[in-house]
Amino acid sequence: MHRYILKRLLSAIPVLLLVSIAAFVLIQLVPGDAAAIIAGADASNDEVEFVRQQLGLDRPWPLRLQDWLVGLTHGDLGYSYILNRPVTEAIIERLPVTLSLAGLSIIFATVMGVALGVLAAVFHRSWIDAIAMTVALFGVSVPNFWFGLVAILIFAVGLGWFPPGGYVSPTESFTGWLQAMALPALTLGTASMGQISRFSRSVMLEQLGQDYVRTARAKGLSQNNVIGRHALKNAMIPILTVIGISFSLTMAGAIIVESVFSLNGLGRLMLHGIQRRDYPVLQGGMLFVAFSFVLINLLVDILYSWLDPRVRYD
Amino acid sequence: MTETTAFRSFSAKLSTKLSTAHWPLLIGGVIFALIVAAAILGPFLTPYGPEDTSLMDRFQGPSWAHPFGTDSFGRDILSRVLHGGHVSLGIGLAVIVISAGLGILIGAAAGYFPKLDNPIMRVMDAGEAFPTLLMAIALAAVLGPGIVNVILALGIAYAPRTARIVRASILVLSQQQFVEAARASGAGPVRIIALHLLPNAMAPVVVQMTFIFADAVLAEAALSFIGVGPPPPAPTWGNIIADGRTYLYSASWITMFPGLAIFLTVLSLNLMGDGLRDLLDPRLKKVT
Repeated sequence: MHRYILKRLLSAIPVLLLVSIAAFVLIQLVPGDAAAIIAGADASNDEVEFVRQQLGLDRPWPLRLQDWLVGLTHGDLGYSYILNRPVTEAIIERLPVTLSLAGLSIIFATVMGVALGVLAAVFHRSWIDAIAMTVALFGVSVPNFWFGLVAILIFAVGLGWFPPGGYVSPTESFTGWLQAMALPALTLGTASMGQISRFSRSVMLEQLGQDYVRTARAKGLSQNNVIGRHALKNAMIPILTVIGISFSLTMAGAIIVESVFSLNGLGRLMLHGIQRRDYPVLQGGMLFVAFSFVLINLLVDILYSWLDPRVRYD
Repeated sequence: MTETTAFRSFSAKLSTKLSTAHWPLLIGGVIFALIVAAAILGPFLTPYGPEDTSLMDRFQGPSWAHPFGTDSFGRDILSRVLHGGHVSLGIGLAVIVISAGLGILIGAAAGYFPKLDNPIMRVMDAGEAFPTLLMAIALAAVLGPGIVNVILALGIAYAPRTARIVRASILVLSQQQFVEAARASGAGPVRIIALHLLPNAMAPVVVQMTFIFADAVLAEAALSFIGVGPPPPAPTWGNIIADGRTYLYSASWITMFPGLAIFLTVLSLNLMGDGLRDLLDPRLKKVT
């Protein structure tokens, strides 16, 4: 087990390195004078030259790439001249909002998605199956920003059940936090919910057709026991992978959903970064998201090997 | 067997076939065909241009003259949605052509040449570590706004997905005897890939292209919505919704109708994808 974890950790290193280089290359693609853009529109010539030297933009790119990579090992994601602070600091400040949003929406998507998928598989080709799969199809087809606006119109403006936007810290008021996060998490989680339930259904159908399920039924186990303790337990292994992948969908969707619900999270930080051409923030944010995606999938792989020991001996 | 019973058994067979495997393809296909027809013909049928303003007719609710209402400049929303369909579907089509082209090239190279496999796939891993939409947002932000840049950004962002599928098929297919036979008869790698391997690997690619089309329509709308898509006043579905957002409480129709258009388009493409997957390759059912 330890050897497997070590092996997976080591294999993540080249991917992380490539991701870091990709984020660096992306910013090199910016047309025009990067120093002038990063310094801001109203910067004087001296300020632009200062930024150029500070960022080392007057040096050849292999040296700059080296600086960027060395900085990363210290958790240094660069400096934003527009925000006037280190990018890492700005990201950490915004993190609680995005983590709340992403966490709650993944919980919603997983619980709802697996439940719908299992119901659809158990009651295969019945009206329950049809309804569950219609809900799932709706989830993967509806544009999340539009769904969010409609949700605001109905549940915030019309019925007044939830606030139309804004963030409340859970340390300040837990129920306030849940109320503020309910609509955004629902909006963000809908697509993943659809994906997870469609996938869970087909994995469950496959498991329910296996011999061990027939054996379990034949020895008189109850339906709940057969489905919960036998079929679902085996189906959870591939479903976990899809949940890991849906994290990626969630992080990208957060940019859009935070903008719809006026939540000051990482997504809005990056969006403002794009609008103000604050490229260090965009670069740092991209890298942060990509790193967390790689690490989440690493975690999923390790969980996978814990659930299914065969994976370790591959 | 009389003619009527033969006909009955035929129609029974047909209807079970349609009701089990092909109805998603059928329904999706019909809805999609209607949307495409509306996007192509619509602009000629409406009396208003998508950018014609009329200050007298600002914020009109849905009526016979303006079935989808009008916006803050008195522009007819129906005309804008139809023109938006033109733009959005065109972008979606261009995106699948680019991502399929890139994906097939990269995937075939990785699958056929073992030495290239590992380096290529690690680069794909890194590419996929950036969520597709985020990748597209960053590329569009760096390249600048504009339809061509959105197409490029999304085309590149979706390429790894196709590449992975092509590679997997080629890896399996290149072990088969007919490839060995082709090689023995003196065919070079390009000929083997293009004439023997790719035609047999196309079924899952076609299915994937349908889903990428759906995702591209959603992604383009999202890019337009947050302001890194084709710049206004170009009527794309995302742009119209972004415009309407300011008047969400007082004139919700501006937001509703383009959103419904996106939803129906993506829904029909997803239905078609599901149907094609069942039709072309039942083994693929698991992959969503």
